[in-house]
Amino acid sequence: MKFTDKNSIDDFFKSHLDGIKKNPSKGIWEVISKQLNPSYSLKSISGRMVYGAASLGMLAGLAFLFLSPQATKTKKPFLSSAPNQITQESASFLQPQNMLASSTSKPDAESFADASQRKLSNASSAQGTANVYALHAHKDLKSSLGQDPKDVDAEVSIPLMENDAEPIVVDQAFFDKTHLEKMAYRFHGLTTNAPLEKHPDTLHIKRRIWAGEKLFKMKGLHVAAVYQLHSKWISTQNSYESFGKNKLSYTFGLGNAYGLAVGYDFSSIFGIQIEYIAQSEHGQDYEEIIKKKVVKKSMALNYTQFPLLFKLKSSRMSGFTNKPLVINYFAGIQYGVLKSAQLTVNNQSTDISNRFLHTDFAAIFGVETDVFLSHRLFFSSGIRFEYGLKDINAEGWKMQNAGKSQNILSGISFGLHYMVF
Amino acid sequence: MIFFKNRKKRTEQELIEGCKKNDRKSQNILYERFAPLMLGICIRYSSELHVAEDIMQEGFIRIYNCIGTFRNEGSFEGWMKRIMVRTAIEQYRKTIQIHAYDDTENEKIDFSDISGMDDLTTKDLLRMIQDLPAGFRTVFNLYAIEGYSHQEISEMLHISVGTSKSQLSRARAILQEKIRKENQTIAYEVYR
Repeated sequence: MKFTDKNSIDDFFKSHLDGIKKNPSKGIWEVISKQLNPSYSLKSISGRMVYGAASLGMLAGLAFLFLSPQATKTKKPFLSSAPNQITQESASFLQPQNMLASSTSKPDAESFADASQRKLSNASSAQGTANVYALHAHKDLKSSLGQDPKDVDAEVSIPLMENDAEPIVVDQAFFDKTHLEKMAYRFHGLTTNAPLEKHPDTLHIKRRIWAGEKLFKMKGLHVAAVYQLHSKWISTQNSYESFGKNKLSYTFGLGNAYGLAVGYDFSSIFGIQIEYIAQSEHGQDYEEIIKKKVVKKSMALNYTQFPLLFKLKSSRMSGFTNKPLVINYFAGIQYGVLKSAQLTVNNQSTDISNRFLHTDFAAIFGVETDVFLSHRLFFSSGIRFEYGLKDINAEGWKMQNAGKSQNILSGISFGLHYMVF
Repeated sequence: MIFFKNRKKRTEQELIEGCKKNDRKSQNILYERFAPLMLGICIRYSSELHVAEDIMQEGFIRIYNCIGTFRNEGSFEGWMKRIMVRTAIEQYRKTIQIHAYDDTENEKIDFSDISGMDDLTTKDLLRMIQDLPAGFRTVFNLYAIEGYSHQEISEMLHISVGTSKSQLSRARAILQEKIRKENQTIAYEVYR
C-alpha cells in the first residue's frame, strides 16, 4: 500500500474511521441521568451540605425537643418567695370557703375548692402554721375544664411559707386563661404585690428566671472544655486533582474539634465566649472512579482556631432537671491557623500544605442549650455551623473558573462549663 | 401522544422536541440511538476506553443542556458530533495540565465489536491512531477526519498554525511507517 501524496493517507484513515461505532459500557446512561436530574444526585456541594446539616440537625433537634417540653412546664417546686409577701388577706383566701365564695364560676370554684380543701386541710391558719401545703388542682381541673390540664396554656405558681422558716413554693396549678383571669387576682394577691394588669404568663416567667438566678450562678465568668463532631466540606475542591481524567465525587466525612473556652455572661440574656480550639479537622473526602474501581481519597486539613462568639440567651426552668435551662443563639467570627494538610490515597499520605493558605477566617452561628447540673456547673449542647470567608487555596492552586474553595462545617457541639465567679 | 409512541418509531425531530422539554424518555432514546456513534468519535481522541466514555458522558450532558439552542438548521447528528469533538478537545487540554495520582496502566481499547468497511483494517487503523502521542492524535483527527483547517485547529488547541502543521506532518509520517510495517507483516504471513 502506497500513498502518492500527503492527503491520500488522510483520506485512507477518514474512509475507514469516520462513522465507526462502539457500544458503550453499561451504566453510563444512569450516570448521565443522575447528572441531568439534581434531585437524584447528591454530588453538588449544596445538596450534600443540606443533607449533612439536616441529619445532624435532626439529632440535635430530637435532643432539644426532648428537653424543651419539659422546659416549658414546671412540675416541681422551684421558687422561693419573700416571707413578707403573704398578707393576712391573702392567707385568709386559702380557706376553702372563701375561695368558693369568691369564684364567679360555680362548678370550677367548687372543684377547685374541693381540691383545696383536701390539700389545704391544715392551711386554714396558713399564716403562722408550721406546715407546708400543696395545692394540687391538676386533676380537679381536668374534670372542671373538660380537658387535660397539659393542654391549658397558663401556669401560676403559688408560694406558701412556713412560719419563721425559709419560704417554700409548694406547688403550682394549671388554668386556662379564662379561669386564670378570674382567679389570678386572688392568687396574685396571695403571691406577689405585682399590679394586676401584668399578664400572668409574664409574671410567671419572670419569677422563674428570678428563681433560677437566685439558686444558680447564671452570670459571670465561666471556663469550659468543648468538643465538636462535624461534617466537613470544601466547596468546589473537586475541580482539580484529576483534571480531565476521572470523576471526583464528594463523600460524607466527619471530623472532630476540641479545645477550651472562656466566657462571660453579662446577664441572663447576653454573653460572650472566646474559644481556643486546639485542633479542628477540616477537609473533604472523595471517591474517584479509576478503571471502574472506586478509589477513596481524603484531604485532611487541621486547624487551630480562635472563635469569638456573641450569645443571646433565653432562660427558663427545666421541668426535666428542675434546674435552669438556657438557650443560646450565637454568632461570631473565627480565626484559624492551618497546622497540617495531607492527602491520603490508598492509605498513602502526602503532605499538601503548600496548596493552602496558612490562615482562614470563618463566620460561625448556631444554637446551644445550657443545662445546669449544679449551682456553678452546666452542660451545653447544640448545633453549630461554620462558613469559611476566604478561598483557602494558595496562589497557584486556585480553581480556574470554578469559584472559591471554602471550608464549610456543620455539626453538634458539647461543652462542660464551670462558673468561676 | 409522544409518550405512547414506540421508542424505535420516534423521529429525530420528536426526540429533539422531547429533549428540549427535559423528557427523560426522549433523552434516553436519543442516547441509545447515538451513543455508539459518539463513542466511536471519542475513542479516536483517547487511548483509554474509560476516558473515551467519560468524554462521551460529558458530551451528552452538554448536548442535553444545550439542545434548546439547536435551531434545526443543518444536521442534528453533525451538531452532536461537533459537541463531542469539542468536549474531547477540552478534555485533552485538561489532561495535558495535570496527571495526579493516576497510577493505573493504560487500558487498551477492545476493538472486537467495531464495525467498518473492513473490520480488520479499521481495528488496525484505530490502534495506530491510539498509539500516536496525544498531540499528534488530536491534530490528525481534527484535520484528516473532521476536516478542520489548521487555523481552526490552532484556535481550538491554543497552538500556532505552524505547530498544527508540524504535528500533522509528524503524525502522517508515523502512521505511514506503521502501515508500511503492517503490510510487511501481512505479506510475510501470506507468502511464508
